[in-house]
Amino acid sequence: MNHEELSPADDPSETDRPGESDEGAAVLPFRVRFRKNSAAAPVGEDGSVYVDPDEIELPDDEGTDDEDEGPREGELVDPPPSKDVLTPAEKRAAKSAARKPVLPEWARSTDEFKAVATWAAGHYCMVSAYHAVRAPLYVGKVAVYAPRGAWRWSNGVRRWVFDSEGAPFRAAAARDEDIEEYLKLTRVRNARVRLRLIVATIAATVLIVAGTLLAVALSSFLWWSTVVAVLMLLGQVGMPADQRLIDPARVRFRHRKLSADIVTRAFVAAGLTRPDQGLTFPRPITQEGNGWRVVLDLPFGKTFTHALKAQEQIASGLDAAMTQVFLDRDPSSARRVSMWVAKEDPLAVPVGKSPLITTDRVDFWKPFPWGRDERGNEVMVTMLWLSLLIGAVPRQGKTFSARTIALAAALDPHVRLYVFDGKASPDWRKFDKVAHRIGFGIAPYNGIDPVKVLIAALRELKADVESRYQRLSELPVSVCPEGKLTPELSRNKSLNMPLTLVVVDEVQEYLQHPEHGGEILDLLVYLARVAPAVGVSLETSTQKPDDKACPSVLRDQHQARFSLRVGSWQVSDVVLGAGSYSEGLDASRLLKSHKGVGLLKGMSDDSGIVRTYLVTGEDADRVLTRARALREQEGTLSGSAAGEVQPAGEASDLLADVAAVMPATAAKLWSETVVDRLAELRPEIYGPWAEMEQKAKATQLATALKPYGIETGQVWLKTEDGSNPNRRGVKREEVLAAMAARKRSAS
Amino acid sequence: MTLLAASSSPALPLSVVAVLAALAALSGYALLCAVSPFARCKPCEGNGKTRKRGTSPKRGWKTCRRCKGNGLRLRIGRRLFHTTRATGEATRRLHKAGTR
Repeated sequence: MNHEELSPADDPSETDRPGESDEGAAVLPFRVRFRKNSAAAPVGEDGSVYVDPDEIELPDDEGTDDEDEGPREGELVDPPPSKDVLTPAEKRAAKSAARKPVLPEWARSTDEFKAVATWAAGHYCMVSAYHAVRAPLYVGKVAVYAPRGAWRWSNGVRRWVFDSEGAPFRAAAARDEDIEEYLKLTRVRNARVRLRLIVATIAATVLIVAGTLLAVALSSFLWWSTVVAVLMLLGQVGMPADQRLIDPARVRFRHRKLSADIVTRAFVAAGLTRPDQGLTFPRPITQEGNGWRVVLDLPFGKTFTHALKAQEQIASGLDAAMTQVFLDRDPSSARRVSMWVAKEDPLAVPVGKSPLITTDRVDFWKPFPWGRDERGNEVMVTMLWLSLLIGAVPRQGKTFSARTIALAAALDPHVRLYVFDGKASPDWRKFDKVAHRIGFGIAPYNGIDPVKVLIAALRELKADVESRYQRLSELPVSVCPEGKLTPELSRNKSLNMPLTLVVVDEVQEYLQHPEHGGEILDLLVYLARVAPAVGVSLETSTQKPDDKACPSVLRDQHQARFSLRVGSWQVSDVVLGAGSYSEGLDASRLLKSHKGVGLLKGMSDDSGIVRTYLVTGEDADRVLTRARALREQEGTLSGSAAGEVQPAGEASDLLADVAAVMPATAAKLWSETVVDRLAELRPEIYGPWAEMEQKAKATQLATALKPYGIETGQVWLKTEDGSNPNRRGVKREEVLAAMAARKRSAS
Repeated sequence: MTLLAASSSPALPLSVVAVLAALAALSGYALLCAVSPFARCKPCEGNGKTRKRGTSPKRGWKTCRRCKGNGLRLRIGRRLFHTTRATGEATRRLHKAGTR
């Protein structure tokens, strides 16, 4: 910017004017001195001084020249404190804005004042009524406890007057026969007792005289109220320590402001800092949700992990329950702890009904509300591209939390649902309105074996997943840009690739099935491992996912874990994945009252507490009715819900099949012959076996039969050409014995 | 006189009176032991000094060997109380240590 133009003082045309003008001196602006270089500061059109921001010498710029020279001796190491840049006017404005009103709000407004007064009157009337009703009780209490109080009080006086404090010392001296000591103590005691007797006598005289005078002088009402007061005092003294003469009319809540002093005290008590060291608070303590947010820096060398280990002591130091204190890691420093202290146990507060109950439809491609975290923030989850494992002890809300997710899926008409419930409870029954495949329990009912239905459904899913991969890779890039399922593709009915949710509640019932457990496990592992990538998500729940109920081969394939209350931290680690405990995730700390509350891990980057929304059975029924209507409208009702008879997978019962291919005439058979005959019997299952080499066939059969306790030993048979080689084979009697043993264990 | 009269009356036999008297004397002695554990030393009769045998009464005094000049001794009742209590405590301690 050209200063010459802006500055009228330097304008050559103007300089001539004073000489020419007859009217006296022209008005010239003052030259403003600016900084040391005393260049004329240009003046704007409104007369204000123009300052080019580029020209201002900032204090920070000084010394930049000798930056390369390194620090010099005697120079200050810390940077100079930043100066307050507020102008006096701004300071005044800020201060007047921060002024508090002389009278509080309620005292200034007439309506408010009336409301407060009415409330106060009502409140104290109620308190008075409360005590008036209990007055006879108070009289009884005084009658019982006042004599005891009088006895206690007089005993106290006696002990004081006769120096009972020193009695043990005198007795000790007597016991040790330390006569000198005894005499000394006795002299001290005598002097003391003499003085105290005098005091006590004077006090008693004064009391008696005063009492008599009061009885004469005071009106009878005042006298009796004095007597009552004294009796109440004695009654209070005579009370047991845990009782009170007068019940409080209201329950006093621990509702206090959390201050830095209290926090420091708690951390000192927890051994995380020393009283002389204290804590630093980089941010003031603020309210957040229904609690306080405290950000603090531990002393140097103490870490977040220390704080996590001392969580219980911190809670005790804050005079709060452990479930009220939440410690979060702060990424900016290892010694910084972000702590949230709830005003009441947030997990025991019911979170309320699910918004799904009133939602018309859900887009399963987007996150949907599942619950709230401990601070009341909504937790949105999505089942896309992952499988979820839910674990908890019974009666803790496992099924309900799993069902809320399935309900969200039901409300998206383009999601195909497979629902299987191992314990045949009523919780999942209503899903027959929408589910593609459904089954309850493990026992056959009405001619349908749910286990066979499950096997058929899982095989169907496996085939579907394989074909999805095939078709997705064949689709043109314009339709399927990344070789992944897209919302458009999933909703295209001709492609038949909808998002699919497979729910298996109480999965251990199926996995421990004596006959088909192994195959179900294999299929589930396949689905958990491969299927999420093409839009088939698996949701399983179990009580205690140990190696028998839910083997690690299946457990570890679940990316997302949700653990409600469990028995111990080890079980919590099994559900949530190894190492969760050391991260501070321990579901065994949850209480029995924390129903539907659990720790979620792996759903998003951060893991934490979710209080799942409640959907009761009735509400679920209503939601499912609506979901069915939605599906009918969209024409996506399929499978079981559309009235189709579910295919019952002919269970591949290997033992029975082997027995079937071994006629009673053949006591033993070579493994390869057995495999060939099996492939003829059921090509869809044993077909691949028959394509192997001879040796591999035998090995395959051996491994398949091993779980049943059948070993393939050397079997000597004749071939057609007359030779009689010794090959691996199966004995019929062993197969029959294994079948009998299985039948016994099943019944 | 009253005591005699009572003893002669058939309502209160002599043996009962004797037992009561013994109890009263015992409790009186116990109270005495509690309030004033020490009594006068017997050899020096509370003086703290005893006579040297065979010397003149003017200078033949020495410190009592029994009370070492205090002139006091622990009453027998009190001593009994201390020993029984100490034994009781020791027994309790032993019992506590033995049954864990």
